[in-house]
Amino acid sequence: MVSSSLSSGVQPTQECLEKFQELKTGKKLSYVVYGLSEDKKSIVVLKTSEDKDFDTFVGELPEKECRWAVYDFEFTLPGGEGVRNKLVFVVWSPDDANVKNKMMFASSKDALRRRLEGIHIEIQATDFSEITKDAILEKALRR
Amino acid sequence: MAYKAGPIYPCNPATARSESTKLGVDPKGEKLIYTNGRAVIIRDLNHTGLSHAYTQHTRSATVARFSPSGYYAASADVSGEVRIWDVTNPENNLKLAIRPLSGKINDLAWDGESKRIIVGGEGKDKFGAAFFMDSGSSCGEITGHSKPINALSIRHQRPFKAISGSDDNSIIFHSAVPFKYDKMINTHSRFVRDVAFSPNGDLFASVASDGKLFLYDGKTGETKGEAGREGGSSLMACSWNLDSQSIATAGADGIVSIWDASSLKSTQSYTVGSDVQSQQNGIVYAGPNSLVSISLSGVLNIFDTRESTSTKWRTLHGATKAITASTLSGDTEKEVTFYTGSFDGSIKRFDIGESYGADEGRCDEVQGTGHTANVVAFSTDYKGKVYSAGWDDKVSSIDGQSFSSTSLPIKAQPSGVAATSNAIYVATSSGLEVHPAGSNSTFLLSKDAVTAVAAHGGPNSDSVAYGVGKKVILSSTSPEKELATFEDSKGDVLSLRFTKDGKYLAAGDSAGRIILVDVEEKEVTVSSRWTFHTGRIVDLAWSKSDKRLASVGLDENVYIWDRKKVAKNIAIKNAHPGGVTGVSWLGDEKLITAGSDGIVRTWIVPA
Repeated sequence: MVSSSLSSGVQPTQECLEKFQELKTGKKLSYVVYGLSEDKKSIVVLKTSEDKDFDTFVGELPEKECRWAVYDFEFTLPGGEGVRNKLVFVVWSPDDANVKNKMMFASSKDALRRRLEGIHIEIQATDFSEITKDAILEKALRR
Repeated sequence: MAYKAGPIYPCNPATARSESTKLGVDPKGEKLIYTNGRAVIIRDLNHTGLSHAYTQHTRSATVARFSPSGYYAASADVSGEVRIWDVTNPENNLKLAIRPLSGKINDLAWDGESKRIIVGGEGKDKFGAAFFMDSGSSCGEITGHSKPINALSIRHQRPFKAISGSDDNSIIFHSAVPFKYDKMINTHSRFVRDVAFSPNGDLFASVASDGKLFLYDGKTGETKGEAGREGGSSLMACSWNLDSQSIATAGADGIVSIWDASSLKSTQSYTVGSDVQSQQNGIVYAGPNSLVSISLSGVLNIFDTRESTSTKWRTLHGATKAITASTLSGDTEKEVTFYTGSFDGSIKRFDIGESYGADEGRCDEVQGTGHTANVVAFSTDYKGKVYSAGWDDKVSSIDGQSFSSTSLPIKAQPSGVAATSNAIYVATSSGLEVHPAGSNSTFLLSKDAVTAVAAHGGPNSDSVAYGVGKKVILSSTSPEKELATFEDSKGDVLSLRFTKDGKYLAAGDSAGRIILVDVEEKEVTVSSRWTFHTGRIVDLAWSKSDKRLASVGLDENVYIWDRKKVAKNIAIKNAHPGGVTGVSWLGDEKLITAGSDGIVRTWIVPA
């Protein structure tokens, strides 16, 4: 009776929200990668980085394990109107990951996602072809 | 002037099981502010007649708070709209109307300077918002929760801070101004129901459904102590005493407790009851010695904390749901009782009349077993007995302050009741039932679905008027004979009233038309002139001298017609949001109306 049947009861740590705030306001951090803790009872920060390179960020996503991430996506507006930044929430759920891992991630996602205010784009990728710069750019330009 | 609004006798706060009811109090501790349906009620704790209702919300209002300055009130509703309005004048001029969230707002807090407001609830993508009260522009963000926010509080001293408690079991500590996420506090293991900074800002408290009360440092958010039993009953609300030394909690176990802030021990407690209706849903300190709580039943309990006995306290009553029927009973104008019935079967009584003095408008429950379903109609037999008909298929009678132990069972769903000294007539979906006085047998005067009934008592025989579809049928009872049928109504006849001498009969229908019948001549004297209502007529009442007729209906209007001057009328527009459902005259110039807003209003209509 504690939480709804859709959520797993797993909660993010203080650090998760702190790093998100740092990325949002500080403009130094470029991405934060989240995952489940060892005991699978909480969501923890696995990596943060100031490296702006998109490919480096994609490199952080393992082939057989799920991750969540927030990435500060930088792009130029068509017509050369300027450079913009938008926050992207990535739900990385590779097809090769095991079902138990994917289930835990899907049911715990909201506990993290709803606490992060200010996300413009949400991307769900099940393999590397779905997390390309073009895919994100298309969503960023849509609005 | 055509009419003047008199004092109102407000509804009590709306309550719901397992939900906190937010009670606010003005800076002077004299008035309570709360919501019920679309109305925001400001209720004087010591004078019933000095209450005020603000009804400008278009959707159900959920919370209302006075500003610390006392000049404004901010109220929010289920659609996420916040209205900020002036409380110092009766027109309640609107300062700002804004929609900061796209869903239900559960709580609202003012900052110490009465400049900024934060709201919390459930929106599409966010659960809280912060804005300036004059411009509506944002002054920060209230973020960090993953489930709806239940309560908020702002520290009134510098450094400014804010706290929010949510269904995700966590409390978020925000720095202010501008409002920004600071840290998450995970002390509770169940839904956090209420959070509050102490008036001096040194501490803040949180209560939750895990039965615990936690205290924290007001500046750093560090946990200082906890109270309450593990696995204890939910604590639904908390309120600090004005001296910041103690805090009161309202529990779902029906107990109101006062805790000392330094020792975290319970120093006083009041047990309101152990049944479900006694669950305490809200609490607020109105003065250093005055604590107000609300039970699930809707009754407001006012405790004087100086008194050591904890078994007796003052209670404030009022209708809690939409009023569906009403009636006035009493011989003299100075001392009468107004009864109101609601769709859940509850019936309340109001003392009205000069002889009550300052206590006029006092509301009380009618003791005893009443109805368990919708109350559709009342009737008085002018001997002091009041009859009520309900959808639990029975007619109960009320003698003064309590229900009689016996009730009359009826065979089908009633829509109206009329009582004379000879019999009780009940209009039902299967016919007009007649229950003669002093006899157990009943018989049917008509087998069609009867929508309304009125009766005028005579020494041996009664004149009975009843509505079947669009027809008004006039009958006498002994001998049992149909005297006339009138077919001037344009909709189903929903309300019928004889004048006291039985010479005239008014009939109101579902299309808004009222016809006037001259009973002796058996003809309709007013047919299409009294058609100003734009919706169904719910009730009719003749003034004491029978010269004027008041009609009320679903279109929220009250019309007063004059039998001698049929072309003129007095209109009271939008008297009750949601529709007016009952009207009674006190003498020839005072009107009492009840409506779907649960409020009883009085009006002076000079002849």
